[in-house]
Amino acid sequence: MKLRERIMAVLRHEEPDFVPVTIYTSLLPRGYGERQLRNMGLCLVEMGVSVYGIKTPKVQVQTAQDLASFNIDDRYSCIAKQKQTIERTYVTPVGNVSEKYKWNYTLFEWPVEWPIKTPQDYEIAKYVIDDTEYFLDEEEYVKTERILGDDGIMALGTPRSPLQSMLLELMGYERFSIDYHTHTQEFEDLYRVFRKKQLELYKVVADSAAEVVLLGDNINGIVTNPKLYEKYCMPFYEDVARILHNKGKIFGVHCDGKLNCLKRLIEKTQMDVIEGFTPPPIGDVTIQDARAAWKGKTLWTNFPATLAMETGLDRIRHETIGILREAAPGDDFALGMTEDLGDIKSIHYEEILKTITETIMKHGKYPIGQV
Amino acid sequence: MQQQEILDALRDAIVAIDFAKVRKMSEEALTEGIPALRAINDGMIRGMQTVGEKFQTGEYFLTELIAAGAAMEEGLKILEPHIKKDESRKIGTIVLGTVEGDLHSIGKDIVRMLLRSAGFEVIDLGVDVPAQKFIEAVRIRKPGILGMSALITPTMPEMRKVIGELEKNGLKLSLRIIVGGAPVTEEYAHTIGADAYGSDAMVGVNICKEWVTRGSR
Repeated sequence: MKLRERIMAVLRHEEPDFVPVTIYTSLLPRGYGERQLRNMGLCLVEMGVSVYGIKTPKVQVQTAQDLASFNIDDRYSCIAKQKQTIERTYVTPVGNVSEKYKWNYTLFEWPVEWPIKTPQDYEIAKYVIDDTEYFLDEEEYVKTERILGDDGIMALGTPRSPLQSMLLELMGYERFSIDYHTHTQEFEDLYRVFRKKQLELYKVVADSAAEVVLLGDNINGIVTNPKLYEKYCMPFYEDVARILHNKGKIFGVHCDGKLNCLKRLIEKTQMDVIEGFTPPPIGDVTIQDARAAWKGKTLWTNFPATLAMETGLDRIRHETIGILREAAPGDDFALGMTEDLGDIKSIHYEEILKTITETIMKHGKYPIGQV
Repeated sequence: MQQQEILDALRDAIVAIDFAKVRKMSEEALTEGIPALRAINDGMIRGMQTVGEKFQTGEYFLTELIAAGAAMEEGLKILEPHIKKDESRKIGTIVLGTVEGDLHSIGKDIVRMLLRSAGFEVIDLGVDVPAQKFIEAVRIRKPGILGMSALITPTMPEMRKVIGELEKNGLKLSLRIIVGGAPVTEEYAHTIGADAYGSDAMVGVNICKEWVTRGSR
């Protein structure tokens, strides 16, 4: 099977020849090593291209970047880039809110100051959300998919669900926890507006070329507890699943945290794929337990990065075999690299990826027997 | 209201996460002549203990834990200025931060709030903290405990770097070090020379409380 066929077979609940082993393109260094890895069987997952555009007709977004510490000699340095702060102000007729971001290790924006700082900011945030318009814009996506060919798949990464966005992008966990108990009305109103808007986005996505939609929710039951998950996330997933399934799309959610307390609830959701699922020592559900609990859903398991920390390749081979043993016979199962396994530019990083891929291609023939 | 009734009401207001009532009962405690430290210990801290128990049994979750901690902060704003000079609710000092390259704050902030509620003076260095900043804080503030958090695997070696720098500067002997964060394991904590690993916020805070109870190393 070609790499694309292999992962698509699993996502469609069909039989692959081998357990697919995948990596986000952003985590794969370019060059000779990359080609070797692809030839060995490592499948690319491209999530960086969208099928939709966004406009905010009545809201002006002003961005300021702190370049004070940015030395010209450092212009290609990730470390220098990490030190920069980006401030974004949303100027609306009902007032302004601002947020600050820094670049995290993998050069994704990470909030360090959230737009909702006082109860008064809720109205402004609601205005910004309500003003947002989504439209189909898939030219780049279609082109990228053609270029990618059989070496991998396009997966459309969609924004966090309304509750997770409120928690991680709009207010931060402290304010989220306090306001959930003390400003219930504002909290609920904002959620309602956000939910309505995001469902509009999925209607656009449903009409697009994207076959696989992965909602980047970063679910962790310790933070998003069962009460919150059941009240907010589950009904939202149900609506999204209905919209996407009507158009034949595959719907996955990135669940990379501790999930034991959500195990029974996840079982009841309509998601097709549990993506980024991370077993111990980072997560708290074993692959065996996950497979038993979430029958009928594809378990797209992340190789826990801690297992690759400061260790030799023998241990990595051993851990990979352990994953295969737990996953046997291997139906509805894929192994993915969805988090950093160390310094992406080091030789060791490539060696880790080669070891994992090689082990899967040696022992991961479907159905997995005695490993 | 009797003094005991006020203290019980203060405890209950914390458990119910009722900010307004915490403020009201804190004022009333002072009006009725209850010493501020007693109002804190026999009112609010008792409340936080109940919240902690509810958390352990699964009745409360992190959101409740954080909100209750914030309610207690409201009460402290009223009561702390009235603590007598020869009294102190401080049980220890801890320097806390997320290591360089890592911008995650949730775990660290939860630990900070729980430590504050437990009576620790917390020097929070924030996120993306360079090793040198940890060293300076330890040298200047002389805490009994240093807490470090890492939420992404590539930043975990920063913890080792900080511990190495502390050793080099002769600062580790008088210090206890606790580390935590999703990718961190007990095995890793020991490998890098940390004294303890906090598998979650409550566990971490309990370890710190035990350390101060046992006294300095």
